[in-house]
Amino acid sequence: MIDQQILQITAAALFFLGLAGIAVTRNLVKAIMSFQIVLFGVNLALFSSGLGHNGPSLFSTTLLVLSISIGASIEALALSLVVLVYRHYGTLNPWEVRRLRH
Amino acid sequence: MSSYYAEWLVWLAPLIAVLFVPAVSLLGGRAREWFATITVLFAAVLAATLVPTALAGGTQISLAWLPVYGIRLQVRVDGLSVFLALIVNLLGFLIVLYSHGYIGRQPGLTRYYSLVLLFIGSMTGLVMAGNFLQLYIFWELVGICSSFLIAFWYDRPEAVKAGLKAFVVTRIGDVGLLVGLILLYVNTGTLSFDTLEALAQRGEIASGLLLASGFLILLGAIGKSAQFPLHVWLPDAMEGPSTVSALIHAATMVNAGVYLVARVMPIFGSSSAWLTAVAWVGIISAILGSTMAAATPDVKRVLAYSTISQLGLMFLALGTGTPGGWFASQFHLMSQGTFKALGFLAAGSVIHLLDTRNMNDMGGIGRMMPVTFTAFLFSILAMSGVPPFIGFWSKDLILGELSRTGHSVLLVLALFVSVLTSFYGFRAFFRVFYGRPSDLVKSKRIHESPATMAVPLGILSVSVAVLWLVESRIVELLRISEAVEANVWVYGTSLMAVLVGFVPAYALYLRQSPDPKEILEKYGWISTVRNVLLDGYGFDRFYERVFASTVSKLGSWIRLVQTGSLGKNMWGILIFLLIVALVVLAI
Repeated sequence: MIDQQILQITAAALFFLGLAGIAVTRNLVKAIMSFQIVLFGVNLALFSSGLGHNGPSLFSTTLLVLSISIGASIEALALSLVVLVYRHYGTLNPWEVRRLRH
Repeated sequence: MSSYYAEWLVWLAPLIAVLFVPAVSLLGGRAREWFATITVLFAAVLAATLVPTALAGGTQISLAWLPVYGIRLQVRVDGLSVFLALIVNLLGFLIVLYSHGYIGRQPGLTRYYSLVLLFIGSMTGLVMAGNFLQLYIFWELVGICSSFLIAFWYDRPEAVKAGLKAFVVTRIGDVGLLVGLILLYVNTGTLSFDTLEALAQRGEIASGLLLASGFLILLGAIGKSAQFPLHVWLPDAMEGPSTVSALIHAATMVNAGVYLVARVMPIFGSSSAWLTAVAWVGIISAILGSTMAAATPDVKRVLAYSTISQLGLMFLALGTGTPGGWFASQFHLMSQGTFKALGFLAAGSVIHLLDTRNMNDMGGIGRMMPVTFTAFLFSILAMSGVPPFIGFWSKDLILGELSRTGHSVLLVLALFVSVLTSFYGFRAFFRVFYGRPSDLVKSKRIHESPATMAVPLGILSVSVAVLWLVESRIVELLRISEAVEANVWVYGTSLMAVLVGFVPAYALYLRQSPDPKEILEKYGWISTVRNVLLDGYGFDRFYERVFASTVSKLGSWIRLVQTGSLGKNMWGILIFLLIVALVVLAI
């Protein structure tokens, strides 16, 4: 049970560190990297809640793999958006990109 | 696990097939249509193979999922779930088959067939779920599919608005359901149906908790099944293609609410306040729906209001709280599904041909479309409750149960609904197929629909005429021990009700003597009533004025916080989450 708590605390720490990273960064690519850290935290929480007395359950592992692959596709989409943002605004600083309409 | 393949595949097969629809559509439109059709047929066959298991008492598959929270993945196979899975997939199959001809060649069909498969798969998953969490996941999937399909023609502003409305209105119910589930989970530590049933039967759930979560879950069912006061989304949902309407009204979406109430009956059924609420929500919806159906000029809206009213009758039957009423509601669900699918598909044929939904622009096409004519007639006969069509038997079970349990007020109101049902049904029938052809009808070449559309109509027409023969088999499947029967008085009274509704419809809309227009001019109060009904009792305007304007006002305040800057917004989210975390830790 102690292991599980360590895992969950780590997951929460990763989650908040990732969010903080998005909040302070001046570069959208770094924001995406921070977002990846948020996803690590979420996946770790998912993994730890699927832990039983004898290791992770089959079904929760399946969901975990699904979650990781969905996370990867979200990042791919985000990266393609970053390319568009750069073409459109000529900068990657999120503090300068703040118009919601073009 | 290998011996359980049917239990899994019956709902997983359509969901997995969704992933392959884009790939299959590269082979051409025909491949895509048949791929979807055969997948649903496959699921229907699998559902049929589950019948022996259900007859033998059912089974439940249970796998570890989230052990920390005591939640398992449960697939429940019992009479109710297999019965619903059969209805969903068989009707779904016929509707998808009909889509081939109806929806034809137009852009966005990959999206259409993917969503339809997802819709049918989620609905099957919903009825096979063994706990509330799984049910909730599929519940939301069904909701999102329906709203996307209603807005299928997204270049029409009305369709987009209707899709959004369906989403937002059912969301109110969904929030109720979610809060009810959380209440149950926090206090009992489980979401599994069988554990909760056992706890409730031993009286180990506090009555206040039971009542609160019961009402919240009922709110979810009301939203999904378009009952009063959340019925406003269903009539607008007519903006989607007719096949989608048929899916929503007959096979999927709206049945989920009735199913949920039936499923939780062993948990909450001991509370008479809850049962009374279910019954009164049902009868109010039935009256609202059937009165509005009698006024509207839109043929699809007649069917939509009729769905509200028929679902109301199912809620009413459930509200009696007896096994007989429970059975009557499920039997009526099957009956409503069959005749309503038939009604929508037949109306779809007419709309496909004339490109209008307004009954003022129809008339006199009966002879030129014999299959559609017969199909619509059968649907109306079943809906009104003319023997031997299935609606007669299922409606009379409900009336019989009401009279047996001594709910005399509800019985009288239900008979009133029955009169109205027969009136609006025959009104729509006469106005579409009889009378003088309109200019629109004269300008078109009227012809029968192609075979893929006619075949499902034929199958459903035969079904509404003969399905009552399987009633005793369904009694066995649903494991009802108490004898289910309606007595001769009920049959007599209900036939009288049908006749009382039929005569004015016949006089006004077939003989046209007295002419309905003259009556409206002569009696001012009738036209006042008609305007109120056409306005839908003003529910839409009321919601618009009270809720929609409040939300948009709140939105303009929240706009001040939304800076459009990623960094600033993120700080806001971070601070909020930290506060929440601190509060949770402090408790």
